[in-house]
Amino acid sequence: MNDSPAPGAEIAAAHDTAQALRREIARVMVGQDEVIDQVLTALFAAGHVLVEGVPGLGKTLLVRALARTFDGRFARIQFTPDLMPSDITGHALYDMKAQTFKIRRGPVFTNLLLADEINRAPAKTQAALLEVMQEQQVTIEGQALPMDRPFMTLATQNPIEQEGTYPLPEAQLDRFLLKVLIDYPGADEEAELVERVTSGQVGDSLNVSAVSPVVDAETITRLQATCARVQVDRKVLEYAVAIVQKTRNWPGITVGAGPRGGIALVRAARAAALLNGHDFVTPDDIKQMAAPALRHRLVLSPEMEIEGQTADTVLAAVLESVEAPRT
Amino acid sequence: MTAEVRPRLNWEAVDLGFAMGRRWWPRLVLAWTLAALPALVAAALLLPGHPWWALALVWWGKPLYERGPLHVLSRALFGHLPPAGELARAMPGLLWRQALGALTVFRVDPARSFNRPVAQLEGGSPRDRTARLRTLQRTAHGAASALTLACLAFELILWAGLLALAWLLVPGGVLGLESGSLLDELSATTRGWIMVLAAWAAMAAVAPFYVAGGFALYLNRRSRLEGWDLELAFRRLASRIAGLRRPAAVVLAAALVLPLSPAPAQAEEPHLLPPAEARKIIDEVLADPVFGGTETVTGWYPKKRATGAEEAAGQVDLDWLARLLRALSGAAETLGFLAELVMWLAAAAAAGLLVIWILRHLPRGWRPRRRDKKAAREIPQTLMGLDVRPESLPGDPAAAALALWQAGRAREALSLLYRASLAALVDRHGLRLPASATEGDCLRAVRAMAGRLGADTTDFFAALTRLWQAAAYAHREPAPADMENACGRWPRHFGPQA
Repeated sequence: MNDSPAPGAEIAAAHDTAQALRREIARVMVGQDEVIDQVLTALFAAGHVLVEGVPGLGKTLLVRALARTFDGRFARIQFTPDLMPSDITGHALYDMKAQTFKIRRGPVFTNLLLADEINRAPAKTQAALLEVMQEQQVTIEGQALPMDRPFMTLATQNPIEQEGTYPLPEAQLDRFLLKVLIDYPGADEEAELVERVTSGQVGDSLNVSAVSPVVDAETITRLQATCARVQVDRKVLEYAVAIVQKTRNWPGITVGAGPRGGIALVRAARAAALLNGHDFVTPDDIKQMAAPALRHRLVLSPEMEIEGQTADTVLAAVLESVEAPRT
Repeated sequence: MTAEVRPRLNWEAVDLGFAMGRRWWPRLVLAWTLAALPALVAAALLLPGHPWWALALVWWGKPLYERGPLHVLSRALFGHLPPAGELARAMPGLLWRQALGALTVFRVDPARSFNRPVAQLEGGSPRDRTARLRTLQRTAHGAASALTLACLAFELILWAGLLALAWLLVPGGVLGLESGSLLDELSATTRGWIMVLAAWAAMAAVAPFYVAGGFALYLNRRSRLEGWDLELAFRRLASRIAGLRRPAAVVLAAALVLPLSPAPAQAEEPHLLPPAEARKIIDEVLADPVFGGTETVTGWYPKKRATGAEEAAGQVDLDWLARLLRALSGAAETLGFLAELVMWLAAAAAAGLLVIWILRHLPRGWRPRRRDKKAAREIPQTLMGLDVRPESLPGDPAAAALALWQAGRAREALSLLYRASLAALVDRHGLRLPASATEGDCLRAVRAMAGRLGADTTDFFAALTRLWQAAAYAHREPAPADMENACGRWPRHFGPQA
């Protein structure tokens, strides 16, 4: 990777692209601006997102709209208890005619993958997907098949139904760059949403035709490279690490974030800086991304959970206690 | 006679009463029920929807129901246990006499069980009765009150016990009832009536002992005061003698009674002694060691009491007033001490609160320096590693920054300007930021204060923040025009005159 700072023109172009993407998605996804921002951040940082929210808040819509903006391919896997790893990655078939094994690629070979209700499948299936996410390649019959770029997984999780689910292990949660919480939209926005979906439309199927492609997949890959070159001052880096370290000895947190938490935080902050139109990361970017980047990497102590504290409230207290960087 | 009447201690007497209560319990309860059951029925008919009021009504009538048992006891003591029919006939007469007084003024008298025999068995005018009660009650009142309390406690325990028994024995949860217990299915009124019935049963069970205890106390008091036991013994003797042939009876009576007691012998003499002689004889008799003598007891007594007594003796006319005042001052002293205590406590609390308030509201420089977390958070001295204390800044930051800029130290110049702006905001505008505040946090806080600072100043601060961020985190030198502009405009927004 090129270490020299990205030139201003490139940054400005990236910022414009980000604005365009944001605008397009917002055409169909109403009242979830923060979610859109965070998902775009993950896209620029080439990370994966775990989306948590009750059903019916437009998670699928978001992914489809995002895929459409860069003309990417989109696949959706509904996770169920009987889903097998090969249902995701693909498998080898014996071709009788040719008398050879033929590899059938699974739905994972796409640009945007929506793994719906990921915690409904057993651990081995989850592990298969998470491995793909980490390695960016699939091995079938000893043959390594690289994934298309950009590749991004959006896994969803339902916070209310815990029966018959297999909660993701901490180690696997770590592989998601961000955990995005999606909540109900405000009253006005919901009214607008209902109006948009119902007016002049048959059925309640999702309509993303309003979204027009802004860029191509190529550009997205280039944007990701630009993002990786956003400048991070040493002090800002140390600030991010201080936050991550603080979570390890914070009362109320049983297990804090590991080094991967710090990596994710800085990666996300780079993308956030890009979205904000800077070519350098400020402590504000770090602070802004701390909650989505770290909230799924903490294990709260039982007392805190009983008190009704969430990872977000604890993180807010952690951020409050870490001094902003010295320059 | 069915009980041995002799002078006893009060508690012993109550014990005797309880023995009597046990012995004749069925008849006593019957006598109680004859009055109490109609009362319960009447109350139920009168207040069908208000079980608790009905219970209160029945409870208030208790003195009336206790008359029947007393009647039974007074007859049974002399060996005649009145049968139910006789009781029923006697009941109206028993109930109506002095009913009004018993239900109003005397209802709250704790010594009711002791007083009732005087009124019911001795009769006499109300005035005589009051005088006699005063005499009799002198030592028995306390015991009678304690008896009332004890019986009340017994009643409550029995009542609670009966209810608990009912609750325990009623099947719960077996009938598929929502609430789990049959009793919970009943209406509040029905449950109330169950409780009333239990209370009534508890009262019925305890009443015989209560009445008998009071009656025994009464008998005991008379034995001690009037030698009633002796009188009864003589009566028994007399009745036995009357059963014999008359002449022999007289001889026997004379032989038995006369040597025993000199007083009846004297009473039989026709002439009376003059008072002076009588006094002499009395003194002689009293001088006998049998009646005790003078005894000198040495002990320590507080002087104050003696002087108080002397003062009182000196002012005979105002004796009652002095007594009243002393009594009042005794009570007042206690009250006064309590009031003083409360007052001092309140004063201490007020002083403490005042000190806390003063400490909170003192100007910053006057406050004692505490290195606690909260104070540090309230007044940041460093922000993002920048010293924002006014002492750490030069007199004219803008000029100093410009000088630094011209010396080629752009970053330090911007740092100084940014720091001075924050110091001005903290010091002059009361901006409060935690040590963890980033530039963005500061900018948001400043924008929140836009109404006070003016849009112009806010914009200037935002521009300055951008310059500073670029210099600090992107190591990018500001454009000369920007820097000169910032230094030039700074005094207008954050200078001492701003």
